[in-house]
Formats: sequence, structure tokens, C-alpha cells
Amino acid sequence: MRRRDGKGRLEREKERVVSAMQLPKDVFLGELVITLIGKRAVYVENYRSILFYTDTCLRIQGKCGKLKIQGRHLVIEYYTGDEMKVRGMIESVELEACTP
Amino acid sequence: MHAVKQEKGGGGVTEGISRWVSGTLEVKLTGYSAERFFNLCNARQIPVWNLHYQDDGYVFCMTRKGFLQIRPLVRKSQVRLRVRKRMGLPFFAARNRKRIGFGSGIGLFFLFLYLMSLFVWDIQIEGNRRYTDETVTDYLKTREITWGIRKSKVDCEALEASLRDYFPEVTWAAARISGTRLLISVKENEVLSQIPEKDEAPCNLVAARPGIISEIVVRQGKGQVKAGDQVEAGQVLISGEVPIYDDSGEVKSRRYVHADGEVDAFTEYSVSKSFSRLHTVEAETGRSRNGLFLKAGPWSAVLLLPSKEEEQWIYETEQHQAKLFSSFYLPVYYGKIRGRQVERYDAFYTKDEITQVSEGIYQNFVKNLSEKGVQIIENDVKILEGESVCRMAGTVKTKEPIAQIQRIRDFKETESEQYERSGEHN
Repeated sequence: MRRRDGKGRLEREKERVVSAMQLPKDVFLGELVITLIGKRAVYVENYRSILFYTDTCLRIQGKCGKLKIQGRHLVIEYYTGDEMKVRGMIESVELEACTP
Repeated sequence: MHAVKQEKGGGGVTEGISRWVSGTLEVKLTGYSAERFFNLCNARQIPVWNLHYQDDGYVFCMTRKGFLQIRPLVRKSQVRLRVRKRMGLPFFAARNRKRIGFGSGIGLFFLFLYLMSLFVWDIQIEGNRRYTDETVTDYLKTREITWGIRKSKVDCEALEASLRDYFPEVTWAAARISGTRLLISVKENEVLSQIPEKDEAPCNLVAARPGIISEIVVRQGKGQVKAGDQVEAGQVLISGEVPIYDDSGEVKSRRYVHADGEVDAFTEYSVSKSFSRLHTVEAETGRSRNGLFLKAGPWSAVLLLPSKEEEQWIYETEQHQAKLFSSFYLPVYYGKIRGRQVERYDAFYTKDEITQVSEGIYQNFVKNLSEKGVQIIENDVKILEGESVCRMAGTVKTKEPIAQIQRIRDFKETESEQYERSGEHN
């Protein structure tokens, strides 16, 4: 428990410094960047791994939380170390925040 | 603020070509932990794309090189892979390895393209107005720059300099080779390159044609005629000999100047032109035929059905130069031949046609006069129709500048001048 608290504090400190220095948070904190192109495509940046994938649901692990994309005919057009493009009929994008 | 995303892993033409060259596979994955397999591929930087779920499995594409690296990952994630499709050059070559002729044909094709790309097959000149394309290409020929020259032999910088030197009106020239085309752009001088020297030699202005003076303006010299005078060709209108009188009113000396001024006169032109009433008519029968032609260097072939000897055809040809891309021109020309059958026979002009032909001849005559600055005031040209010949006859009254320069050769001396000169000698 103490370790987790320490980690949370460190994260908060890091966020404070990044805000103070006006640095891009997505780059320095590794937060998920989600870009939707209408209903037909979604770009996800700064993801960690694929947790679950079918043609109707895709769950992705981010550094701080999980992302759930639901839809129909979901196709992972490509995925690289930190970026992924998903196309299909996107119905919902759900973000599950990480528990401190 | 990520409104526009640039696709990184998805492809692009270059990426697509490089993948095709190295070979790609479409694979179907089934088994226990597919997601783990994909994450492991990502961690080892093995590219996977077009991943989709299909029939309780996953179908995706990967490179041939990547496929050779995934054996440990397959074991680790307990999945089964089945290759569904093989795409790209290595598999294509393997499938066709026994077709030597086919392979060598493709090889020869690319060799041919490469060899063709070493030469100039089209020369484009732009920006030239005073000098025609033929003039410039003729000059290029003297420098041995012609259709079919090796690109390496064309020194664009030297060519630019020589174009500027050879054509004095060219103030700027640029030559570049784009694909198999030599593109030459020139800019010509829009103002006079040299100011004409003012002629100051003593001269008279004389009448070029007989006429009645309508207006005379003397700028330099002495006017010899006035408005309303009848003048003959060669008559002095403005004299360049200006006498200087002494107090007693006698000519003391003469000053010779370059006579200058404007003299307009009413003149007349007689028109007498005739044309035959009989002319050849080409009437289209409505029949047409199409053909093709192909020209490659000195060889040419025409694909056109032969016609009967007594039939008369008018052919139009449309020529195109073959090109692979926008700048990769080949020494091959092709085109369409369109033929229209005509029947030629002799016929007499109708009344309306005679009027039209006469009007055309008259307008041509008027145009020639207008170019010389002649204004038409009145005309009484009539068309006289004969049995076989039509004749246009009459006179055209005009107004035009008639002054022309005549040099003064013999300079007269007054008696006092002669006396002064003889005194100097003594």
C-alpha cells in the first residue's frame, strides 16, 4: 500500500512539474491520445498492449488505464510500438481510469 | 489537436513497394492467446497489419522476414498459424522459376526501359516568339543536340550560354532534362536591343506616288507643295536644301538638312483581278474509314484497308508520342488515321459564290493596303462576269502618306561660296 501511495505521489509530482513547465502531457506522462475520425476510424497513441480483440470489441492497455472500443467489423489496420489505427463501425469508446 | 493523422504503419506507396519486393504473407491464427502473440510481435518490432477477426481466428498480413522470426513467439503464446496467401516478388519468382522465357522477357523489358531512359526522345521549346521552334532546333542540330542524343552528352549549362550567344534577342535561357525530355525555356527581349541611330544625312522628301496633297506638316526643310496641289511620283515635297538670303535678298549660301515632315495625299489604285468561274469541288460522300499507324525510329507501319484506285480519299492523321510517365517519352509514335471519301468534279461558281470569292479577293487587297497605312476612302470596283472568267475592275480612292526619302547627292554652291573657296586655295 505504501509503495502504491509513493508511486501515486511521484506521478502527481511529475504531472505538476510538466504542467508548470508547460510541456505536452501526452508525451511526458505517456497518456493515451485517442483520435476519432467520425465513426469509421480511431487512432490510439501511447498504448501499451492489446488485452482483448474480436471484431466487435477491442480492449487496449494504456499506461494509466484501459480503453475499450466497441463496434462492428473492427479491423486493426496497423499497430506499431506506440500507435494503432482501428477501422470499422465504431459505436463507443470507453476509457477506464486506473485506480490509484 | 490531432485533427490530421499521418499513417505510419499502414503503408504508403513506397512502403507497399518495398513489402512487395521483400514478399508478404496472409496468415490465419487460431489458438489460446492471440493477443499475447500480437503483443510479442509488437515488442520484437515484427510488423503486422490488416488484422481482423474471422471465423474464430485472426487473419493478418506480415512480411516474409517477420514470419521467419515468429517461431518462438508461436510456441510461447500457444497459437497455430496457417499461411493463406503468399504475395510479393520472392513468391512470384519462385512460382515462375521454370518459365525462363517469361522471366527473361520481363528482364528484357526493364533493360529496354533503362536503355531508353538514357536518351533524349523529345525536345520542347517554350517562350520563343521571334524565333520559331524550327530555328531553335536547327541551331541545336548544329550543336549535335537532336532527338536520340544520349542524355549524358547534353551539357545544359553550356547549351544555355550558347543559346544566349547565338540568338541576340534571347535574354534568358534555361535547359533541363526531365525524364527523356529536353526542356528549353527562353525569354526574349521585349524592348529594342539597340536604339536606331537617327539619320541626319541631307535629304529631300519626294512623292512615292502621284496624288493630290491633302495635308502637309514640315518639321525640317522647306515645303515645296501645299494642300490641294497635284504631285507626280518623284516630285520634291519637302526640300532639304534651305537657302540663306543676305540683306539684298540674294541667296548667300545653302544649308542642307535632313528633310522631315508628314505629307498625306489622295491617291488612286486601280484594281484588275480575274479568276476562273470553273473550280474543283470536293464533295464528301459520307463514307469514312479509320486506321492506325505506328512509327518507331525509321520503321513505320500503317493499319488501313486498301482502297480502290478510282476512289478519292482525304486523310487526316493524329500523331501522339508514346510515354510511360509524364516525362518518360519513348521514340515511338502512334496515331489514328481518319479518311473521308470525296468526289471531285468541276463546277461553275454561282452568283452568290462569285460575290463571296470577289469579296475575299477585295478584302485581301484592302488588308495589304491597310498594312502600309493606306486608308480607303471610296471604291468603285465592279465584278464583270464573262463566259469562263470573272474580272474585278475599278479604282480605289485612298489617302496615304506618300513622302519618301531621297538623298541629296549634288550640293550646289553660290557664287560667293565659290569665290570664297577659290580664295582659300590661293
